[in-house]
Amino acid sequence: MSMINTGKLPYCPGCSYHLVTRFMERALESMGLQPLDVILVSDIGCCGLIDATLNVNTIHGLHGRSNALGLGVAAAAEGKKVIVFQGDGGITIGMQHMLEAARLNVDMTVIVVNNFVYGMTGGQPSGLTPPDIENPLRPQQCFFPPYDIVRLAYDAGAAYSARIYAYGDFSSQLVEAFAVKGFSMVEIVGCCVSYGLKNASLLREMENKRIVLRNERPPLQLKFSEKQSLLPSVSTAEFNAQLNGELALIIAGSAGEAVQTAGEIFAQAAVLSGLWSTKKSEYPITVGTGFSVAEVKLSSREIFFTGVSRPDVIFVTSIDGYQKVKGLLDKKQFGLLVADSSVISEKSSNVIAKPFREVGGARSAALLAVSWWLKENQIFDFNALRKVCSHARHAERLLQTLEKVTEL
Amino acid sequence: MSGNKYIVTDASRLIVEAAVRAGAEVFVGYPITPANLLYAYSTRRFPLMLAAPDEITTLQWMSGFSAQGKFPVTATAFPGLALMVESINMAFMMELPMLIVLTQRLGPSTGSATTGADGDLSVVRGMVSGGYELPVFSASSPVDCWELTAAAVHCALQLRTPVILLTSKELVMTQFTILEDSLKEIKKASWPLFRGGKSYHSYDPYDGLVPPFLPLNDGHYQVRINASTHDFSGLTRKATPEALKNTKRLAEKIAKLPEEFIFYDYYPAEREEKLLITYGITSAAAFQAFQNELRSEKNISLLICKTMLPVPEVYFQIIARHRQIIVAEENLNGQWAEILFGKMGIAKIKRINKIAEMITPTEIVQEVVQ
Repeated sequence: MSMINTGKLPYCPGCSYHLVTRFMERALESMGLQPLDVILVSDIGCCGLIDATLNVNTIHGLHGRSNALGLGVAAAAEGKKVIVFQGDGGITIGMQHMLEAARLNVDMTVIVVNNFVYGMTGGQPSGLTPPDIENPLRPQQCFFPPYDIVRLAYDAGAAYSARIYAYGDFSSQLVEAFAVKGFSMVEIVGCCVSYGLKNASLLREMENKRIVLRNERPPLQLKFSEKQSLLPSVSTAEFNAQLNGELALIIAGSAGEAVQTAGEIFAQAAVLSGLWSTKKSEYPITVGTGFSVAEVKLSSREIFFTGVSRPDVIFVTSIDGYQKVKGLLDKKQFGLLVADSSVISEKSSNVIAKPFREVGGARSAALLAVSWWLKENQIFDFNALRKVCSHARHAERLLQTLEKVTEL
Repeated sequence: MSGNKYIVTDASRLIVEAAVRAGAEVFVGYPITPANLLYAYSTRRFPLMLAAPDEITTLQWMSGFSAQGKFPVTATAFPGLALMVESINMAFMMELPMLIVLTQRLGPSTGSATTGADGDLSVVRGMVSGGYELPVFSASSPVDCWELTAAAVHCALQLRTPVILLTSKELVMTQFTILEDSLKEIKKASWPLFRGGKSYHSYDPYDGLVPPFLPLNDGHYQVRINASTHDFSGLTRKATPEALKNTKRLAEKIAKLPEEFIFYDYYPAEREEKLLITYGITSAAAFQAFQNELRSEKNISLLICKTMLPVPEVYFQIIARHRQIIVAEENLNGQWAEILFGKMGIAKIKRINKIAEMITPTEIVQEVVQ
């Protein structure tokens, strides 16, 4: 079966797409490929008319996105020849997709038919239209030089990129591109008899601008591999808790000072003691600076609502944390405040200041604060905290922190 | 909880694990808060994980994989979804199964990336040109994240469509205690494959509403996949009768969502007089309010919606049995209320809305009992 299924191609008389389609067929057949060995990914515009003329597998997507669509197709194509077919308008809108496919050296061939115009919408110039090509719809900026997509593809890492001209038989040049293992792109400069270059002999004059660039790189090879379950191991309660009801804690400190780690460890230790727990995190979008707040709820019953409106205990371990919870403190919306001495010096029946930062260091202050409070209040067994720390990353440092509660 | 077997984890982990167990094979990600844990876990769990350079590329790569019979998943937030919209339209028209996990955060625009919200329902409802709906599920708990993710993969394959799972920062970034028993076994979903015959037309649904699938690299039959208006064979056609029949079928197959994909929790009162409706983040507060106080009123029912689109008929049946409706949701304008009751109807119901922080059980009790 031949690649082309019709004697009458749907292009305007004199359009270079006639030659491109015929020579693409000749190239593929000369390589011994059958139609169903080929997957054609077509873009929007005159290039999208090609699907119906071919006996190959086709996928017809959006304007400019065919390089990205083609990457997904090619990544799972298992020995098929994937060809992306687009025009100069499509490559302009989707330049990043082409660069990314070139950078990854995806095993597919991109054919860009550059006829200098958006043919289907009335002949507007594209990003590939040279400044010396006459165009009545040219906005001022189009007098700037066009993108050199061949060099761009090369610089991005394409195994092969070339510019050729739709004059004479260029099927052997297509064979060269199709045979590449990796990303190959051929820009074929051609005529649009309606709006672009109307005289094909001008293409012959341009032929000295033909260019082929190569990068010796292996093609992208992706493997689907089975991986292990992500679910954490199942546990049962090993320690005892004294809590009957619900308790809400807020740990407020600075980003980068392991506030979330302290919250997670505390919440996990509570669960290891037979309680339910949740732990929410809050921080500004700047992950490494500003406040970091962990909201921990503990309960003897299942917890549904994870929010904390009026915490039973607020732990403040830095100025950032203090500023974040200042609203709650000012409104007296808390039961007990446990703060680092560097943040609050005053003490009262429900305000306790301790040198957590001085004793434990900045990165351990949050864990030290909640550990100290647990030691004082025995909500659940302190050994649960030890056990969770012993299985965590940086176990040694965490366990040392726990032992420092006696220094407070 | 003593004696029970449990795990401690966040919902992002549950979503990733459930998706893979249900048959998802490739995760394509572009970093965005609050979806970053989903991205991180996917690198460790999916058979293939790819980092895309932007969200348009993400959806295009996913579509390419899906066209080859590899089920793709991504996770994003509104700014990423906005870039994906044209490509989601493409995947819908091409009938390519995939899952998009939308971790909602406070908008508009970039808004506040680390603040939760249920603010994107109107966006996902209106994003397909022509008013076509995609199946949209909303998780209200970590266990929902497990079950609905698996269901979403099954639904996407069964109906050959992109599916959206709504979550929020409050689920995907929060650590929960979960009983092992509550995570039910997940069955692997399969592609609705063409079983063979004389010829294959990529969009011929035969006697059903969903055309059987073959990947582009099938090798035995010619496969044509198309995002433009097309006939049964997959060839671009202007508005021919066959092409329009195909386009209308796209709406019909979603509208007739199979019963197995209709998820909700309904707690009827002894006297069905007042109905509290909610979904997403606010479900936990509503359930706690119901358990602790509202249930004892004997006349207040609670409906937690999980299948959001297409709107299940059963919701209207439940609503019709009550004379007062209260809809609680974490957005300013009552997006779910408007979908259920319309612009005129929304004025006749009571709404509880809030942004930037969770609606509390106390606030719900105050409004409902009042």
